[in-house]
Amino acid sequence: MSVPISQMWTVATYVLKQRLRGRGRYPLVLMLEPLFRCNLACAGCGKIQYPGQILRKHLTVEQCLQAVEECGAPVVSIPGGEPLMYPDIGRLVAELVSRRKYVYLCTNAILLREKLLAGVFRPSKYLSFSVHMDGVREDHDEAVCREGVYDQAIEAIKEALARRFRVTTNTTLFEGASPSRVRRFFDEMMSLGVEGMMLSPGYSYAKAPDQEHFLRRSRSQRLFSQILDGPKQGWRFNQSPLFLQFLMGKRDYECTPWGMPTYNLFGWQRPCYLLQEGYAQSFQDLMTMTRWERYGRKSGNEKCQDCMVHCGYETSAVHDTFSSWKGFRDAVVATVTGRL
Amino acid sequence: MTASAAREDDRSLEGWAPEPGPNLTLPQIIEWAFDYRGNVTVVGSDGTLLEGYLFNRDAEAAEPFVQLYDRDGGEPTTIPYGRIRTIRFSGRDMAAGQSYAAWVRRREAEKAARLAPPPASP
Repeated sequence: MSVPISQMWTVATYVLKQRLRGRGRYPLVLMLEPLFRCNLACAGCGKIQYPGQILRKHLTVEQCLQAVEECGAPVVSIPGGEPLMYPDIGRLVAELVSRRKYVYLCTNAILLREKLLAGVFRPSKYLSFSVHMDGVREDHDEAVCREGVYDQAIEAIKEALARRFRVTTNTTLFEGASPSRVRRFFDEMMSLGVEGMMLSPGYSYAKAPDQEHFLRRSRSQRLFSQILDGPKQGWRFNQSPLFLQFLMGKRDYECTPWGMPTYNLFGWQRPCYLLQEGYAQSFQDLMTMTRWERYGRKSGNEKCQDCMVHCGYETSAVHDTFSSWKGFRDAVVATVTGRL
Repeated sequence: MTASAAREDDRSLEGWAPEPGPNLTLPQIIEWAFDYRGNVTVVGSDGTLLEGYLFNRDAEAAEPFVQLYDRDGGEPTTIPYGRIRTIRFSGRDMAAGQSYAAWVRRREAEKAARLAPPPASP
């Protein structure tokens, strides 16, 4: 596993503090969406289908920082939309870094090289570019519905690494993914020198155009088992090994929908990053007034039955790591040995 | 077209102008409008019209309300359910007509066009 020690330490001490304070529900990662605008229109994405006046709007840096303060999570993920289209992205990232937040800037990397050459960002242990890569060239370009994007992303990754930025990849796997090609893709990313990879199955957005290609739970487990069984020594993953074991069907978790709360133009999204069932005007309202018992597999909510996405379950895995000696031991063993 | 018919066969609600009645309540129309990815027109009980994107609603609040960004994208407007007569699905449905299958067909057509021999010069 490849999460840097300082980041692991920050997250571990944060989680332990929450537990000592007796907080039953606490956020781990803030999903901060400063805009919905994007320079791609991927078939699997349900995030960008809005009228023009919504796509032209974005949060101010001050609104973003207010949300970060309200939430208090040690990690801030900036998805979107495409965050590199956000006009104040450099200032926003600098402000977050100065607050010692670990920032994952999730980008398709089309604009990354241009931004790096323009000096918009400075390398920091707190900043990682999390580049959206859904597989080898033909698979990625098909997933993003545009040819040539894979090559653009590779060039940007090389540029970022050459400038000593932290770079990770985030990969969403859909129905029909070929385990052998995904393993080849892992080899390609590792040979580039990225710090680690993040994986998640796709989720069936009600508004995503590609409804047929999302994975059902059992098929997800089979696919991830085929991909991750006997992981190569050189593969590094920037996420909890227990979450990867969950994806493989070796562990069973319940969803933690409040673990990665989402803030965007509309407010605090209920109940999670994927479902849009309404918006709270404050983080406090989100945490205290959301009917959490309506979500997760045990609730019987149909929308939650097949979901295995990281925004609900990675927090569960982290919680497991720090709530029992067995969880802690299993996480340490998997981290040290690389075995899943 | 009814809302349920639209949902069952994946047709869009674009252009739908429902009137609340015994079989279709205002809260149901509001739920459809909340789910709709296009601008709608809120028809007030006093006849006023407000067009915008309905991004939030809370039917369980002490005074249920909807929230919209109007077409100019200014600050959001909050309107209590009690002041709404109906909602028209007046704007383009941004989630419609963008299927994965359509993209595959477009891509295949583009490839075929690239591979086709150039027209003979006169």
